[in-house]
Amino acid sequence: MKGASSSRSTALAQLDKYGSIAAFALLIIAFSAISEHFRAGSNYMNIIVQAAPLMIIALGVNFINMAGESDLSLGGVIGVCASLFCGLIGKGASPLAAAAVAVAAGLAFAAVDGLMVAYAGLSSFIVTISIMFLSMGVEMTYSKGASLWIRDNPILVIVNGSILGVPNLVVIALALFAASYILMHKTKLGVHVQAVGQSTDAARYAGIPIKRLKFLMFLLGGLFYALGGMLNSLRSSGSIIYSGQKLLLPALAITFIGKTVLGSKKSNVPGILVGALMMSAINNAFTMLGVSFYFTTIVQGLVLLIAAGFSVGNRKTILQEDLR
Amino acid sequence: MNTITSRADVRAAARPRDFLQRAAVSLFFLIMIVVFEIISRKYLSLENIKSIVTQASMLGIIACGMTVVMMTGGADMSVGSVAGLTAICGLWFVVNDGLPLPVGIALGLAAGAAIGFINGLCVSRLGIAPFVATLGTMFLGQGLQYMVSEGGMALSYGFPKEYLFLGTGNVAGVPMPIVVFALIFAVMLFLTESSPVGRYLKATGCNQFAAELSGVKIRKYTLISYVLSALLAGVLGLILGASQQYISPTLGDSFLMDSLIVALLGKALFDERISMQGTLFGALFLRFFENGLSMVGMPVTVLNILKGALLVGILLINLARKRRAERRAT
Repeated sequence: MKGASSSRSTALAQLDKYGSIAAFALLIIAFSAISEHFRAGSNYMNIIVQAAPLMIIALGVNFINMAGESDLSLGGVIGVCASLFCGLIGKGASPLAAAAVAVAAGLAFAAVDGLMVAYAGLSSFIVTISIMFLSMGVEMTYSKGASLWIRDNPILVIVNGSILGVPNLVVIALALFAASYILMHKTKLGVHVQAVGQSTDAARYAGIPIKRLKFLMFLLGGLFYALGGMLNSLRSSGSIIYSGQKLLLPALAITFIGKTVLGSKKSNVPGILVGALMMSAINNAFTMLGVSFYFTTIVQGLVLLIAAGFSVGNRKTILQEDLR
Repeated sequence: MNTITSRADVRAAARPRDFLQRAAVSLFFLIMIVVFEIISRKYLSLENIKSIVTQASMLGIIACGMTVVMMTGGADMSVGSVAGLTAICGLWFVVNDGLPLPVGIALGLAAGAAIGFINGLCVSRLGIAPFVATLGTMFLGQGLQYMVSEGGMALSYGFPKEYLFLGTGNVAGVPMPIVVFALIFAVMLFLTESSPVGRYLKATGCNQFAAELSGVKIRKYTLISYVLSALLAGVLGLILGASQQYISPTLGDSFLMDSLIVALLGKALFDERISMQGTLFGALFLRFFENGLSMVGMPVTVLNILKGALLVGILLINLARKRRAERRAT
């Protein structure tokens, strides 16, 4: 009896550990079997390219999650950054100047989030959702609801080009991924942030500057939202109103898939890579299969729920939203 | 969590300055109304007040649901999308396929309640954070709306008369949305303030461990709160569709932000606790505020920014009060 139950529990532990990676492999195999467009050689590279901006944005959310907070503001902030970037380029600004403005905007919203959450101690859920709606209003006011296209700009060629056969977008994304990994898993700062995320009280007794670290993570998040938003708009040669809303769901789903990878049930950087590729593969497959766009939303919502379900460590406690 | 965390809070809640605070808020409300009236001159016409109260009632219906969920310590991000889903599921087949109206409405409410049930299960049984679970179902609901409406087609004609009565009819001169809201509010007020169910809901929100040890079925009541919230959101969706005589997949989207603001506004103004009375006041306040601003000629986009700022402002006021209470206690 004992042996049976323990082998069952190790099987469950194995599922916990490798379940999401196995699911990813199964998805790829299944999609490849169903759709000949999906299994066309160049399409795999497409999936990776499409994953790049998504991964950068999810890395941004992940910084904040690792510090124990959540962030919904990206749903609006990304849109503001992307529309500022495209709008300014459209008015003849140099891409570098436009990028600087977009990054500044991302950092400004992140600073507001960070001040309110880290220093004032307000609930991150409520603060960031208000900033999301507020920034959506800013985006609408700036773009007046119109799509802002970029035409014939060298920046399009640079970002959508490739080095030695590797698309530049992928190079940028991998560089940011490596930097995030080293920062969060290999430096003292990263370990401190993880400590804050695990137990604020323990971190406080250990003398870790909690407020400063949380604030810093929000800023990093804002920077990555701006970068991801700009790259995403360059990939589609323009910014359509409320582009952040379309990225909110996949980005959050990626962070939860990331938590399930290798059964850590904690936010971590490597998991984001798996999550981003998985979401991108799902999006791509649904486009290739030619199903209607709303199935993608439905499936992404389901993936978020399933991944969130698997990333829960303790099912005894009902999690409650902090409404301070 | 809407907890009373220390004795200091209890004492602070019982203070006479609480009365002063409420008087100050009422005064602020009055001044706001007077200022808008002076600027626009049409603000306090009977017609406009009636329209504001009708709008506030609709908001109140959906915010009552959000309030119940917040009492148990949760939050429901799916309300707006459930409102739209209920309206579309309820009317699509009635208008296009001649399904009888009561069957359609039952179908719509069942679809909404199903989403609420998923929310409740995810939060109470699977241990998923409320905002994550309800965000997932929010997008799920959005996708389903587009699926039912064959890619986002709107319903704008062919509604049965009985359905339109829900939104545009009058009972003894009182618009239907107000009548429905009054009924729902009365039931919810009784349920949360004077019945055991209300105490169980609040106990779950205050301290789930103590509540569970005291024999409260916290999982059951959490589940109930989400289903109730989804049902109320569905009722709002049906009424909103009838009053606009137009149903499209983005029907209820703006109500997510509004119902969050309203419930938290009520919390800020009424003893730091989530309550139906607070939500009623919040709904009236928000709609008077919005209507006034649009009468003065504020564009809608700026209005949305102001609403976001209002929510943050409420939080900061709350925080300042809490800090003061803490300082008084020491």
